[in-house]
Amino acid sequence: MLDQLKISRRFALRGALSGVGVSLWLPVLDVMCNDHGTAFAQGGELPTSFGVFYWGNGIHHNYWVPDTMGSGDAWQLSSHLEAFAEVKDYLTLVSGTQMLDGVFKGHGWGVCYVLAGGDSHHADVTSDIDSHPVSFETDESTQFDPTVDQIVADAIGGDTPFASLETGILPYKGLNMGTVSLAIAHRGPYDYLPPERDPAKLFDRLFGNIPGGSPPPGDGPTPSDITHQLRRSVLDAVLEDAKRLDQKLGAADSMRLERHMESIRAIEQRIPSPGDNPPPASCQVPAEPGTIEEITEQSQTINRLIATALSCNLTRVYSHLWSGARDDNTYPVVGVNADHHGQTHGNNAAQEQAATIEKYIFDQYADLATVMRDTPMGAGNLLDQTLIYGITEVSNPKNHVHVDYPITLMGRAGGMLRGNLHHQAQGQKVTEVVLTLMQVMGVEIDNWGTWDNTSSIMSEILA
Amino acid sequence: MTRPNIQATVIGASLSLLLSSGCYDGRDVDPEGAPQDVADDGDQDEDPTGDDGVNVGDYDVPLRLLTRSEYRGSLRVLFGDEVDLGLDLDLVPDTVVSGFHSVGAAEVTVGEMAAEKYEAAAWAVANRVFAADSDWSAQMGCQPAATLDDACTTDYIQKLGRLAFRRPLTSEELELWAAIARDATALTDEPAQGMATVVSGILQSPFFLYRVETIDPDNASESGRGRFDGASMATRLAFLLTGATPDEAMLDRAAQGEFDTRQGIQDAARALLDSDEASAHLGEFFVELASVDSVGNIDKDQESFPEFDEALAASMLEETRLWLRERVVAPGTDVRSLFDSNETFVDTRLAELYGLAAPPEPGAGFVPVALPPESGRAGLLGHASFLSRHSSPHSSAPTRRGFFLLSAFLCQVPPPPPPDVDTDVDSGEEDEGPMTTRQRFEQHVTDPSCAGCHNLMDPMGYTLEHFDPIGRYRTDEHGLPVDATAEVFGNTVNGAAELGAWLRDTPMTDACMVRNLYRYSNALKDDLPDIEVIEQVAEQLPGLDYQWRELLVDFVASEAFRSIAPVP
Repeated sequence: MLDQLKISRRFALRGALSGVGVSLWLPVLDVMCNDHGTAFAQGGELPTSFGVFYWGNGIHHNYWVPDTMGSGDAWQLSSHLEAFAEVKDYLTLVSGTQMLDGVFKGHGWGVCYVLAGGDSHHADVTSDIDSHPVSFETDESTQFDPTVDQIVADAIGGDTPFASLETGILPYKGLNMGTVSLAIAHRGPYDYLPPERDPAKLFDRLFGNIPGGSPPPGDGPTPSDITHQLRRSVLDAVLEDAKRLDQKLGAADSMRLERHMESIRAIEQRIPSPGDNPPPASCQVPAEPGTIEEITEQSQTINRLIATALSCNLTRVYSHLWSGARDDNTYPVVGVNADHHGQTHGNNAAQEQAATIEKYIFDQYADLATVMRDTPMGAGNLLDQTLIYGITEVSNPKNHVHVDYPITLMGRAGGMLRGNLHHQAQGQKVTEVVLTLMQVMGVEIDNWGTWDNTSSIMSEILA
Repeated sequence: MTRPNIQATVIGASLSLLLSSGCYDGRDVDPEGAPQDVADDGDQDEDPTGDDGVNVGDYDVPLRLLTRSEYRGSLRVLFGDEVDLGLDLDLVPDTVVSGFHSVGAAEVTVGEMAAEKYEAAAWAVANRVFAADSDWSAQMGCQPAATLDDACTTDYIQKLGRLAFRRPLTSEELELWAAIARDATALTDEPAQGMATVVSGILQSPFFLYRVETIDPDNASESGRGRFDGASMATRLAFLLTGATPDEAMLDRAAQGEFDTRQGIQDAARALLDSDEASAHLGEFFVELASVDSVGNIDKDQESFPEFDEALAASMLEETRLWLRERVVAPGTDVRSLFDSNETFVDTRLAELYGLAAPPEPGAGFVPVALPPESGRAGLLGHASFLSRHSSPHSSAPTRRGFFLLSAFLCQVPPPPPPDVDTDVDSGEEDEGPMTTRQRFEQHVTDPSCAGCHNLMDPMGYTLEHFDPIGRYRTDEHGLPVDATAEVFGNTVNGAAELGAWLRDTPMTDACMVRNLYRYSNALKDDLPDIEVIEQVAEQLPGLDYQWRELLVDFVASEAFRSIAPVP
């Protein structure tokens, strides 16, 4: 069924270029649904989607954890989470988890643990991630195992134009932490997918189709089928070259080249072709964003582009890197002119500055959720269908605390999660939460994690 | 009488230093000064990121993606300086691994966004060079038929393809690209578009985007090492010395077999070193080694350092680049000026930051200056780029500075801290009354389990304490005098200039520089398997009067660069 929904980006582009694509955040799929809006008219279920919202440097737990627990009205939002008031029905907090295995040593460790279930290359957790003989800083840090978003993308990302979509806000600042701070999405060591942080470029990726502003042949400004044909012929030739090169390569480099060629095939598949199905009339492309410097506007614009990408079924997996692990950005937008990571290790006043930053980040996460709540899908909205894993690498950052991770889940994943729940999971592991999320998304996996390996499901958060 | 064996003296010395300092405790220390797990001996073969590279089975040559700068430099070789590409090409940033872009380029993969950006860049360049309304046939050197089915077209494709792929195109390849040109022209009725389409394809081909280097089976060294074939040597030399793909002259030298001999390699290296491209590029090794290219990536506390902005960070980096080019790697220069040069280049803002009398007028750009002794600055250790990059946003971070100096210039990497230790002693202002940065750090390192390693790292950092987190000179902090005296490897050193003098004179830095050059030029994380050939090169430095260019000529003709040991 999903094949029939493939969107024609030519159509989308035409809308954008002709200026009719104003910000109508209308759903793409409702016209194709059955009378109840719970499934496609043709019989398939509405697509669920999976996201990761990641920020660096942890959380001041006293501001994050609610005083009350339970479901529905039994629990109330904490101060950090105030902005989620309108979407509390879709919020699931898991507090009290622990990293039980091994000895936790800092940001690089934490980001491997929460996103990839540890690090099979350092499975005994006795050596540091940056222990390579000739590492000047910590730039050997990479995800040796695939991150959760990519595991889910392999399971459900195949039917959409983008197997996964990577976005972000702040470029990483600080010590060279390796690739773990540059990207959420990793498929293996140094095999990572950096986020797009520029709203205009993100728009072009999703809805534009002209490579690099190349002027199309012929007379009009609209890319023609001819341009698409030329692009396709070039990419075919490149794939032929890759086959010739591959014969000269050993296994590891052959795999690297194969990943490159997978990327090219994905691009090729996204080139519109005359046989494409017409897009649903309601998939409206927003106006192209201009140059945006202000961070809140950047965030809000990207949040809306993510929601549009989902409602147009351009992707089912998205990861949003607000800031990297151990990030040292400053936040003048909330009056903090000192570095985030530095503040988390400072005195009491500095700790309050860090908490101010955290609150601001949660406000932006809440904005993403609210936009999704306001984006209809079927009889409900995007939050009914999606599931976001909100996470950071440490809990209380001052001492790199690895208990009580602030796991902030959003969305009901097509009714699989109860929502409106604060579950205290004392003594349980982060890997249990992630394994549960992966199973909810349909990944066939029954145990997960190099560190804290588990086959337990956290059934308390499920509907 | 030969010089003492560096491995035995320098590297052995560093081992004993690490051990005698009590720095290391709990794991074995590799004989070359690098900490490793006791049980790690056979681990190199199991490295999941290890490439088995080209030439399967015998040799393990890393397959290297072009870095961003190599990509841009290569475009100049392909299309000439006269074509103003005028493009801000948006490629995915390089991945720095083990301190070098090149090492990362041998590890990374090209994801979808990276491939999209390559596609966009290729079309943008191609459409610029072959813009229909331009005199595009000048690029080809002949006027092709309107249908592009002639020798002019195929000759140009062969010429461009050879430059892009660093080898002649096979007849099969030539026919493939020529057919694309013809078809695209037929489709668009526009020969410029036909050429642009071919060029876009060549620029996206893996044969352009990756350096494919192969071993010449007929030219093994006496010890059984595999020597790179001529085209691969042309590639390796051109990228190392000019930062770009080899030009026609280099490929011609390769075709004539000139790189099969030591003399031929050295002649070609000297020719390359005479180029403007080499002058502009040679310093980049030191830029990467010192990690100063990411100086703009360290935000500073805006309350304490409001003057630190992107423009100032850019000035800092430009100072270092200019100075490296003119004072460190220039012909006839002693590369050890890196540590003790008292000359540099400043613009208005840097002159103000450095407190120099008579700063250049705004807009005057960079001017050469001699630094007075009272500036406290000497060589790289006095550059604001280096000092800012190796500071935290709010503190001069002596441990970080010391750790970096040990790692990058002495090739001694202290082991990571023991488990469960809060390593962030660098906590900004504490609540216990005014203290200097050094006092705060010394207070935190009283724990004997920490002191071993910190006593190795911190003293070098303390000698730079006269420089604040943005590289400004200070005599006191919070009204307390700065103490920049410390014992470094048994010598009492006061301040950056004395530390620079010591670094200049210790043979440890010679060997370490060549080890880093080896890793940089071969895109390898690990240099230990080839330590003997590296050491032979390093031993030449005094006899070459420490001239970096002379060292490079020696290095590229050595087995450390022209050959590779077979996979055991």
